[in-house]
Amino acid sequence: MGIEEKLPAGVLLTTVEGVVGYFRKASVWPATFGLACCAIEMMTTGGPVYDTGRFGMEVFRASPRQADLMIVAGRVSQKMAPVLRQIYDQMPEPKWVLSMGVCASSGGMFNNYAIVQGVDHVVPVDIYLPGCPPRPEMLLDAILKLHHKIQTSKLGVHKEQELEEQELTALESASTSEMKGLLR
Amino acid sequence: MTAAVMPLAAGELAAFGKDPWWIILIKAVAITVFLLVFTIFNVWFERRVVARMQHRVGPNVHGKFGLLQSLADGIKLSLKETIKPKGVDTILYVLAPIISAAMAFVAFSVIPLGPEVSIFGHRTPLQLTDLPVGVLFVLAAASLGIYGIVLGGWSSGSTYPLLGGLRSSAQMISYEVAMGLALVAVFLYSGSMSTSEIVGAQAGGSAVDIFGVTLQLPSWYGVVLLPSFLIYMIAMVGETNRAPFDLPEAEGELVAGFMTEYSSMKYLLFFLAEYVNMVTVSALATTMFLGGWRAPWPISLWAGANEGWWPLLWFLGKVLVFLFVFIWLRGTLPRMRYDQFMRLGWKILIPVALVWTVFVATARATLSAGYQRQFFFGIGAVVIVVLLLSFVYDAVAARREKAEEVEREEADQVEFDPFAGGYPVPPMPGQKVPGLEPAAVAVAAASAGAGSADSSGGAGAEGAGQQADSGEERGRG
Amino acid sequence: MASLKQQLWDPIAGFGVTFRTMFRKPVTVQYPFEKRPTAPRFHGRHQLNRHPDGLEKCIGCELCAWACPADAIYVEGADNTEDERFSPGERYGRVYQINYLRCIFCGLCIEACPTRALTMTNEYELADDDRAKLIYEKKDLLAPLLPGMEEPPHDMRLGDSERDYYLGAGLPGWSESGAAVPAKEDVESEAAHS
Repeated sequence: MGIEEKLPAGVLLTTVEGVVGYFRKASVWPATFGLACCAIEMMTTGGPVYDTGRFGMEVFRASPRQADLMIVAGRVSQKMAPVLRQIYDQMPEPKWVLSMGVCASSGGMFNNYAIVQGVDHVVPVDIYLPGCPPRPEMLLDAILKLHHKIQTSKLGVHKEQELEEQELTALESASTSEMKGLLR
Repeated sequence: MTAAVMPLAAGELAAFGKDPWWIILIKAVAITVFLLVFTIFNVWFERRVVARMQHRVGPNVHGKFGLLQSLADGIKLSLKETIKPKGVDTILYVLAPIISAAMAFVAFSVIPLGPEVSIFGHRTPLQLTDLPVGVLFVLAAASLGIYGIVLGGWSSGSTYPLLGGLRSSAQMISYEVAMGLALVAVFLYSGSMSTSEIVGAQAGGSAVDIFGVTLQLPSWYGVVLLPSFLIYMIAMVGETNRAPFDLPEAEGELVAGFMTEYSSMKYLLFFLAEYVNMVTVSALATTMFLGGWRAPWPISLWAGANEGWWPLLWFLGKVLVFLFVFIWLRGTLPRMRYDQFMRLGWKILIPVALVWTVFVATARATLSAGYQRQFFFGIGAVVIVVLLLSFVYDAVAARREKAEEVEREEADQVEFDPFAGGYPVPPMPGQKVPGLEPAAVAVAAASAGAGSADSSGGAGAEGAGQQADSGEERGRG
Repeated sequence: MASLKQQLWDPIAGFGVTFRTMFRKPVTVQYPFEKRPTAPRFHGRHQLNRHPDGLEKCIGCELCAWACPADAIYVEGADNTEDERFSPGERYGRVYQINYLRCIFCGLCIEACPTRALTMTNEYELADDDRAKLIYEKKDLLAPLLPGMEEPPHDMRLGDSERDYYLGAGLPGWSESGAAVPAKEDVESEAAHS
C-alpha cells in the first residue's frame, strides 16, 4: 500500500508483483471469526493433524487491524451482518475473505429470513468453499487456491488495467435474467 | 569520572571510550543488524519449537524449513495499508511504537558480547560501550520501553488498548521491583554495576578441598545466587509481556491489548520491540548469571576458549537457551489471571527477593568480618529444616481440617424432600436421599432387576428406579 | 489443602509433557503433498452414473430434488425419442444441476434415487472463487466414459427394454435368458459398480 503501487508498468512491476505476491501468500494471518459449526472445523485445521502453521497461518489475530484473511466460518444472521461488515472494514488492505461452508456462501439449508443468503451480500468474497461443514482438507484446499490467487494478483497500473477489463466484460455480458442456459 | 571517584570502574572500564568513530559506527550497525536478523530467526524458531511442542511441524512450506516465514511476515506487514483511526492522538500514536522499538535496541548497547578483539588492527572489546552503572542503564531503557506501550494504549483512543496499556504499566511496576532486588545480590557479590566487570567477576570460582579432592566451585552467579536467578527469570518474563504473563495483549479479554488499533508498520515495530526485548533480557540474564560470554565448563578447559571471536558463540548459545525457556513457557503454561499475576508479584516474588537480599548482604558482611563458610551452611540447613517442618505441619493440618469438614458436612446434611413442590426433583449436591446411602445407589440400581429395592424411604428415587426396572423387564419379556 | 506433590511437582510436570512431545513424531499430514484417503463412504462430490454401454442411468424423476433438504438440486426431465436416446427408459434428465453452495452432502438424494444414477464420489476439493462456477451442470457431474461406453444419444445396445438394463444388462453374470430371475450377486455387483 505504498511505493509498490506507484511503479510504472513493465518488467519491474511484474517482478515486484511476483515477490510481493509470494511474501503476501506466505504470511496470511486469519482473523478469528468463527460463527457456527464450521468454526470447529476451522480450529481443527489449525490443530496438529492439519496444521495451517505449515503455511504460516497459525497466527490467528484477535484484532482485525492485523489480520489479512477473514474466514467467515458459519451462518451469518441478519444481526451479525453489520458486525461482519465492520470487522471487514477494520482490516487493512490488502485483505481477503474466505466464505467457509454453504451457510456463509449462500445461506445453505437455512433458506429463511434470519440468515443472510450468502455473505457476499455484505462483503466481497474471494473464495467460496462448499461443505457442511467442509472437512479440514477442504479448507486447506480453499486456502491454497486463495494463495494462488494472492500470488497472481496484480499491483498498481496492472491492477487498474485488470479492473477496467473486468468492468468491461461485466458490462458486455448478458444479465442474469437473460441467461437461459439449458433451461426452457 | 576519574579513578579517584569510581575506584571499581578503573580496571576494566579503562578499555572503553577510546575507540575511533568508525569502530563505534561498525559496532552500532552490527548490533542493530544482529538484533534484526536474530529477531527474524527468533520468530521462526519460536513457531517451529511451539509447533513441535504441540505435536505439529510448524512453518515448513515457504523457504527451506520455512526459514522465509518470519521474513515474509515482516515484508507483508510493512506492505499493508496504514490505518489511523479517527479518535487517536496522532503524535503519540506514531511515537509510541518508535519509543518501544528504539528503547529495546538501546538497552542492548551495554551488553558485553566478547573480550577484546582486533577489528581492522584496532584492539577493542566486543561491546558498544559500558558504564559504571551499566545494568541500571538496561533497566532504565527497558522501563522507558514500557512508555511506548502505555502511550500506545492511551493514544489509540479506545478502551481495550487503554486497559492493555494500564495493565502493562502495573505489570512493569510490580515486576521491575523484584527484578531489581534480584540483581542487587549480584551487585553485592561482584562489587560492580558495570556489565563487563560482572562478567569478569564470574571468571574463576574458588577451590574447595573435600577429603583430598579439589572441587572447583561454580563461579556463575546463576548457581551461587540461585534464588536471585530464579526470581530474575520469572520477572524477566513479566517484564517482556510474554506468556504466561502476556496480560497486556490478552486476546481473550482485550482483543490485542495495547496493539489493538495498530496495523502494518507500527504494529511491526511493536512486534520487533517484543522480540528484541526478549533477546535483551536474555542477554542480561546471561551476563548477570551465566558468566556472560565466558565459555561454559567443559569448553572452558580449553585455553583458547575465552579469546578472540569464540566467546561470541558461547554468548549466543546461552542467549538461545534463555529464548528456548521463553518458548517453553509459552508452550506449556496458560495465561494467568490478573489477580493471580499480581499476587505472584507482590506477595511472593518481592518478599522472597527482599529476604534473600538481606540474607546475602548479611552473609557478605559477616564473611568479610572473618566468619567461616560452614557457619552459613549451618544457617541454611536450619532454614531448610524449618521450611520442611512447616510443609509437614501444613499437610497434617490440612488432613485434619478435611476430616473435620467431612464430619461437619455429615452433620449438616439437609433433609431432602424428593417431592418438593409436588414435583419429583433430583437431589442437589450435598443433599442425600433419605434411606439411600451414596454407595448403595449403585447397588440398588444393579439389583433393581430383582425388584427388591430395599431402600425404604425416598419415594421419588425409588419410584424412578421401579419405573426403570419395570421397563427393563418389559424389554426382556 | 492439596498434597505436597500437587503443590510442588504438578506445576512443573507440564514442562516435561511439552518437552517430551518435542521429540515425538508430529502427527501432521502434509496435506497438499501427501493426501490421506477419505473413508470409503465419505460424502463428496456427486456423480451421475452410466450403464455399461454409456447410456445415462438418470431418468429425470426429480426424486433427488424433492428429497433435498437444502433445495440444492434442480432437475428437468425430457422424453427420450427413437432418434435421440439418452437413457434406456422413457425419460431422461435433460437439465441436472447441483448447487454446491447449497448442498450439505447429507446423501438423502442418493437414498432417493431409484436407479442408483446418483452416487457420491470421494472428491472434496471443490472450492472456487465464483458462485456461478459452483453450480455443477450435468456435464460436470456425469461419470467419465469407460472403455466400451459411448457418449449418448444412441440406441439401447444391451437389452430390449429398460427392464433389462435395470436388471443388470451388460454386467458380468448377466444372461438374456436368465434376465427375469437375476442372481442376487449381480444386483449387488451392479451396486458396487455404480
